[in-house]
Amino acid sequence: MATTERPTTNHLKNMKSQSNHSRLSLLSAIFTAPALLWLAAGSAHAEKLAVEKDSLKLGFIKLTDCAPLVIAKEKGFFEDEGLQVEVIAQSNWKVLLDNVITGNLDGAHMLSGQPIAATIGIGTEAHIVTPYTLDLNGNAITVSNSIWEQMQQNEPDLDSDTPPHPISAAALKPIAEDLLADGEKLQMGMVFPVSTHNYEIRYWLAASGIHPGFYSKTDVAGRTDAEVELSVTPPPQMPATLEAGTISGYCVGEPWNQQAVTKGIGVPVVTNYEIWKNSPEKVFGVTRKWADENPNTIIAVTKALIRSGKWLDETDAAGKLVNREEACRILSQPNYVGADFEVIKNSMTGTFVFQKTDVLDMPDFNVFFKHDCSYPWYSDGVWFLTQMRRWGQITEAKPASWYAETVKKIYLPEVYRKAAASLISEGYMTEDELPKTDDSYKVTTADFIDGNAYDGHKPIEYINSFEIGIKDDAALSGE
Amino acid sequence: MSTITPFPTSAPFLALNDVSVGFGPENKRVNVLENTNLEVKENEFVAIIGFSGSGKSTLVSLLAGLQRPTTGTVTMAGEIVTRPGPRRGVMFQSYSLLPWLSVYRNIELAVKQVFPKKSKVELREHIEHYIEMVHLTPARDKKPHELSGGMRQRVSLARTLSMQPEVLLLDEPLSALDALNRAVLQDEILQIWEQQKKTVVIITNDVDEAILMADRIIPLTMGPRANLDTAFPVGLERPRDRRTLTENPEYKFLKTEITSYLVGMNRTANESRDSRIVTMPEVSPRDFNPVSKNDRSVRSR
Amino acid sequence: MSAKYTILKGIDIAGLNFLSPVVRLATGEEPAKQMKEIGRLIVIPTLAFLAFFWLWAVVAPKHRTKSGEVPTPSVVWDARAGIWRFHNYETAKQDGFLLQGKERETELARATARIAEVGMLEKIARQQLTAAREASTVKFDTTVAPAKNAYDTLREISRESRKGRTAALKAEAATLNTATEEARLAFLQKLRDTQARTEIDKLELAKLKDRYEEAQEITFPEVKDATRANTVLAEEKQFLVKYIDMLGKDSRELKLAAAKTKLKETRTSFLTATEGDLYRLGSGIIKNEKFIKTTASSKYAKPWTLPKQIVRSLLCVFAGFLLASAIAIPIGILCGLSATFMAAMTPFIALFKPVSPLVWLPIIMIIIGGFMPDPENNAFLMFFDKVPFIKNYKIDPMFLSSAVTVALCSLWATLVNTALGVGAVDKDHMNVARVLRLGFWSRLFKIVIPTALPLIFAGLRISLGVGWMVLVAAEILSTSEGIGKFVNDMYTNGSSESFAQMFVVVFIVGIIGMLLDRIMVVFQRLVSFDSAVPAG
Repeated sequence: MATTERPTTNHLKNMKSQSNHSRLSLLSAIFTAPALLWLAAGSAHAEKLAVEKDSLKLGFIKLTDCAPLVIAKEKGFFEDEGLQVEVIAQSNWKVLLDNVITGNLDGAHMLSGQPIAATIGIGTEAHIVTPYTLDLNGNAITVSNSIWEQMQQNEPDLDSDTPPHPISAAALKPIAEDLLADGEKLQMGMVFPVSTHNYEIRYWLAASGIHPGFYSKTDVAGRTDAEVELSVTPPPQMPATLEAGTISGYCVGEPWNQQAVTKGIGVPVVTNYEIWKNSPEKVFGVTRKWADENPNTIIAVTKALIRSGKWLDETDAAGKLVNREEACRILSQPNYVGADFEVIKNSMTGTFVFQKTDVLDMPDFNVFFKHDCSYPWYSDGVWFLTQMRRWGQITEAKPASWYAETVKKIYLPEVYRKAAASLISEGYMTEDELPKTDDSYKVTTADFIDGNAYDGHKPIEYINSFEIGIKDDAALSGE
Repeated sequence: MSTITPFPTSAPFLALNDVSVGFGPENKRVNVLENTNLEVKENEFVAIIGFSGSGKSTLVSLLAGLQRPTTGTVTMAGEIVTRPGPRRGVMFQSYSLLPWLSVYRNIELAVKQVFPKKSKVELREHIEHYIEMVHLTPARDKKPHELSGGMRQRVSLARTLSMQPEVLLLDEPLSALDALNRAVLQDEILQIWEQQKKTVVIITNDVDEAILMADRIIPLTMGPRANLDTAFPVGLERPRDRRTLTENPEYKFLKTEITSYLVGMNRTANESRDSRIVTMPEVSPRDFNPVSKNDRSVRSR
Repeated sequence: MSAKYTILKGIDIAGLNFLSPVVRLATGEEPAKQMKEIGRLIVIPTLAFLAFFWLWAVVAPKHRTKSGEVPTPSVVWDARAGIWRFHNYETAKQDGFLLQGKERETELARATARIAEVGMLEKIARQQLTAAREASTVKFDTTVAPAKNAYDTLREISRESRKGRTAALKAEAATLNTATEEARLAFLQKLRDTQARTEIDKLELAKLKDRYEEAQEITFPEVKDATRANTVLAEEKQFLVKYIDMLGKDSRELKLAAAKTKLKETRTSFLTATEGDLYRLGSGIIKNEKFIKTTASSKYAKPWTLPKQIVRSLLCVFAGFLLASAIAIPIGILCGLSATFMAAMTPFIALFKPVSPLVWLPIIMIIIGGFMPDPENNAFLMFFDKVPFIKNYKIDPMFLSSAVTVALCSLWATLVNTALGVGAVDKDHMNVARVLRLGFWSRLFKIVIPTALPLIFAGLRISLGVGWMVLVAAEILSTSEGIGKFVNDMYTNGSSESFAQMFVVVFIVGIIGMLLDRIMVVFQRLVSFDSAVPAG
């Protein structure tokens, strides 16, 4: 299906200029490519890290953003580090986390919120750390056909083959209110209580004044004051649950939004790229214990993952992603994501299909390396902590210092730096590909759907800046 | 009618002394046997004859020690019988062969248990001797379900004899067989008895069989509250030949007398039953249990 | 003649009674009767099966869900081939990694030749796919366009007229400021009518939309076939790329050789190096030596493929079955022997028997997880790593949890049947035992257990059947590698192949279950001494 170029809203224009900017830096990267090759050839026999453990089992959930793990195996990046890696599909996030904790798995593809939640004791408690962020963006919110029709009635602009993006939840508000008046609640699905999807759909709803509900000690389902009820559904079951009418919409990663379009059971309305541009999505997580026992192995794995991320984001002179097709082919193998090649391709190759008639260019929908994606930013961890506090998953008010200390326990930029240094010496990476940062905090950004600015150094102010959400004592920020 | 009879010379070898067997709670007890007395001399062949349901099998169980009397005692050679044992070999009406074992193994089970000290060779000779005795050598390795009823009863006989018991208790051993097989086995049992001279108590409902085999025939009165009545001594000369026996006047006399006694007993029992309704207890003694699997397979053959 | 009866007896014991008329016919026994039997036992079931396949082939394409089409027998057959192909590819990669010398080079040459060939074929297939797509787009437009136009037109009209009506009403409302009550009420009625009118429009619009959507659901088998052909080639190419890597740069042989050369170099320079370099080169040598050691024993980390998963499922079901038997038979015997013990056990049997595997599994996983906090270094699990054959199937806590779940769900049939069998020992046999004064153990092993064996085996047969059913569910939940995991993976894949792949599993699970049952029937017949065991 051909991509349709058409007028966009201001917001989208901003995005485009942003991507043009990043293209420049990519171009510079391409000019250095020959030098890279030469370096690589010269150091093909560079000294290997003495890994403590050479055969690893890594878990993943069947989502396209497991790609760095799969590619590192299939393209032999793990083997280059002297690692024989088995990449094993897990049935859900809970099982995956349990398997990492019990040692059935050495490490896994995890939701960004998982290491944080596990470490601070939301759900299963275990000290999980992450040296690597696997990807940015890649999620979307899909609503059922009938909700989409009602939204179109509420907002005539949407009743078009090519509605303007981003679509806010404003058109959804009357539907939720009508249901509330009937004593019912709009039901929506998300992936896991501490998943990025949960925070994204909450952010989207709350940005349009729909209350998604608070968590509390006694309400672990997070439905206190809710105007829309969110429930956990495993990603692969999302389309079927939507079709069955149990839920009216969901927030999930790919390929499950594209699956809904292909099967004609729902309409993706908004991507998380539009909710928060370049939001961190999945991380590679291991237990603290494992990281301590295998200091070289964790670096070796990180090295392979960095190369994998780079490979996935490799572009030609025209800025076209050159390896994505091959990556889709690999991911469509039954032991990996296993979905149809065409479906995976829809979201992985720079376009996003909202409806059969509404296909948008989204070169940054799946980011695996550029925009300093893979670096484990402390500020990303703080953002998830603020959202956990905003919605009451963190039941007590904490001082700002606690936020900073907690993320330091979880994110391991030093491991990433060691891995990067090793890659640079081997010629697989250039200096300028390593983010320049002193404290591993990203600069303040307002790239959110509601334009609210986020500064990782000021968590309390950020929590208090939302209209809907728990408010903390401003005095805590000084502590 | 004064022929030589091997009458006992010593005190009773096997005896029931005032034995009663009852079922049910104490205040409503129904006695199957009541105040029964029996004295069997050593090497005597006694037949107990009665209608079915009169408690004949209970009697065998008592003698074997498989069942304890409610009151009274069972003695053997002066000792009170408290439990069963190989000294009193029992041949059951239903053969009681283990269906998963061959003829040889069935007998071996008994022999090994009774003569644990026998060497392997002795054991084999002993077992084969008894198999030969009942003419089953060709069927040595057959399983019970491959044998006819008569052959099975022979195995049972061989097993019982192989234990070399002092008393043989035969509980209607031939009642499930056809007339021809029955005759053959009767002769075999007699022949073996002639050779080995053991104390034998046979339970039967066949007057001819009783007269042919026994020294004394004791009728069991109709149950409940059955009792042993006065014995009919059988003075016929041994060895008895069934072909000439039917011509024997003493045989004819005995047969008429016993038969008319039994018929009379039946009539009295029926009359008394009419006048006085006795409810049989719900629980039936285990030994009256309906036929076992083996018989079923016999029938289905 | 005796050979014939041996065969017939064997057939009978194996429960393959449908073969006996064939044997009898072959020996010329009552041909008419045997033909009739063959008709009943072979022809009729075959016809029934054919009818089933025919019905399936006819009905399947008519039932289309949004989650995928119900696959026809031929699609399922293709899916089976796909599963097999994946298995072969992965096995080849595994073997390729270990190939050495000439053999490796020949294989490498062969693979390289093949990849060129596949490239050509792929080009053709892609052209065909493009052509099919273009044709389908034209067809799609011609069939869908009218419906879409009708819908769009009506939508436009109804929207315009609604706008018009609303505007008119609003205008009228402006004039009603001073109107009478009647006029106001009349206006209200007008409002109501307009609303009703809008509702009618909506209904009509919805009808047209349905038609439009229906039209969109048109399928293009040519495109599907072309896509499938394309996918098969693309997959082969994907495989060959990796395979060539495994034979070439990633091959164990080459990696080792490179590392050894490097070691030699380092060693040479180490021997002549001076202070600063000495340390660096020395530790370099040690690192290299370690690397060589681990590489020499490394293997390609092959993903689980269905054939291997089936074997692991079988291992798991047998482990569970053995455990169940080890628990159920002794307890069953005790129950049969002692009425008191039976009374004590009855509430437990009644309580636990109906509990679903889905309830047991999480509990057991937690318990086993508690016993094995560090599965990598658990002595019990490491023991299995040394057992030949079993070591290839990675016994882990998940495997044990599934096996224990199988045991817990399947032991009841054996337990109850054993108790029943033991309780049903012939009184006469017990009397024989008493007369012989057999001790407790001889009585148990010589009389009680042999009597109970046929019933015990009947119980075991049920247990194995239940166990096999439970296992697949347990594996789905525990993600223990096996058939259940395969089903779960295919389900989560949600690809166009998934549905058909699950159908393949249905047949595999069915056939294996049937074979297991047959085996148990044979055992049951071998231990039963009199009446025949029904084979059904």
